[in-house]
Amino acid sequence: MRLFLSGARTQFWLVRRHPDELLTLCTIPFTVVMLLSIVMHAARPDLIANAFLAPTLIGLWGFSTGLAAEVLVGERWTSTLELGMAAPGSLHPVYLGRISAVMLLGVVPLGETWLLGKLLFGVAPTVHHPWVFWAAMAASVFAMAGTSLLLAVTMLLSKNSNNYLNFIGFPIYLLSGVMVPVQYLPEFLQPLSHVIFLSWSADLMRDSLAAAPVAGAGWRLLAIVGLGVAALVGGRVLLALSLRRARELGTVTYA
Amino acid sequence: MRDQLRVLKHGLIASWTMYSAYQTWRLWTFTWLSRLLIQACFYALIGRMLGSQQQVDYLLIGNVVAVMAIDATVVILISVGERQSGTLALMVAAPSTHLTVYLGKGLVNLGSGVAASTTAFLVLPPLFGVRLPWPEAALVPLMILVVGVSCYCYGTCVASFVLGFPSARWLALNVSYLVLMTFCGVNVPTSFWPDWLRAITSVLPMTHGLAAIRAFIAEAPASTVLGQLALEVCVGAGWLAVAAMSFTRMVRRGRRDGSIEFGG
Repeated sequence: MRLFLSGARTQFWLVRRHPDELLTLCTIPFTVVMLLSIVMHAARPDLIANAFLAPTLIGLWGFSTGLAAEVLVGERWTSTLELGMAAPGSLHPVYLGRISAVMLLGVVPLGETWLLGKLLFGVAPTVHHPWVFWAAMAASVFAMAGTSLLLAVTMLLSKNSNNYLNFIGFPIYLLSGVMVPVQYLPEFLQPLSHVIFLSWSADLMRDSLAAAPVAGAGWRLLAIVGLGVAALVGGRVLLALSLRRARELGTVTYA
Repeated sequence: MRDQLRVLKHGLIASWTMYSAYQTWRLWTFTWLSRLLIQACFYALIGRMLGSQQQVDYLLIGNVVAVMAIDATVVILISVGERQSGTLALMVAAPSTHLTVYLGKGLVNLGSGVAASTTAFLVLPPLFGVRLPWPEAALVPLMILVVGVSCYCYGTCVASFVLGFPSARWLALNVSYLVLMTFCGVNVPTSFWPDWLRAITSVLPMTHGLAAIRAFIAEAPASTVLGQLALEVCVGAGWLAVAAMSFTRMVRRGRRDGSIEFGG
């Protein structure tokens, strides 16, 4: 736990020193305006909830790929990965602490979206089931931390990591239905969305904003947490394997 | 003029060498191009959710053209990189002007953007049931090029101001193209915005060029299309003129206060 907190502290310190890393917070307002303007112009107030949730979840994902997933690659660039590996403490909790700190910041786009919607368009959706909404948000932040660890390790394995990170965003937004529910996708793509935790998050959060009772909230929350745990375990195992392989081959710098 | 073209040619060769060092055609196709295609699909699907083919048409065409703006404004990052590499002092000392190099620095990326946008225009409309007036629609890529050049001029202008604040380059890049994608008639008509904002969009690239493309696809009179295209060219020329003045001012100031750094 000490190492985890130490990692989180380090990350907060780094973000304070490099505020330009909070780029996502500057791009989210544009996404909010784009999506809200589309539904307002089309006179579809029933879709305002979608236009609010999409920037929130896109912001969460943006923090993951823009900052959290680059934690390990950043360590390699600054040549501190090998120093960390040589240290007596375990590295995993430190990196997980750093990633979790980033994911906590990933909640900020939620407030940003609500504020901008109210200020610029004078609209804000009513949260009819606040407990479900906040539970889904918390589960999503947890799952995003796990997914970020998996992404971070994957990025460490490729020399074209930035290209892949850049690529992955929109396919995920599309497949997870953050704005447009999955049923609008071609049928052959729909099963893919079940393995993306964001699709469960988007559906559950949308339902929590609606007046109708939320069906199967517990199971759906469990699905988000379960996918998060799977990513976390996968990331943990892959990180251990990658670092061991790098040690054995003497390629830590190019791990 | 011939000398400047020679400088531009060598600048292009250098840019291409740098670009192809980290971008293979396979990587470009499977990561960059497909990302832009999926981005356009994301917005077109919103149109489908809105339940109107008219919305699908509007959102798809808008975003097919708009994705090009990302590449066109990458010149902001490249110009800052050029400044950081310490070549400005050498260019200022050379008999040729530094303007040719700086203004031509991102042309390879502009080519990438126009190619991606053109591919999107050819591939995506049939998938979303968007009808195009073939064979006349074959002229649209040329109009995309005009919009691309205009966006590029705007990018060079932003770059000329960001050179003094290199740490803001990523922010400047993202804000620059997002402003175009948000307000210039990509997702909603500019008439949706308040008057003061609409006035600003009329001097931004993309607004008139995209209006020309929409008018052309809707088989509007040629005078409307050409008029909007001419406005797009004027807007681009305006941004280029400001960029040239800003780059010249930067060098003049650097000469005066000795801030043209040599170190990389």
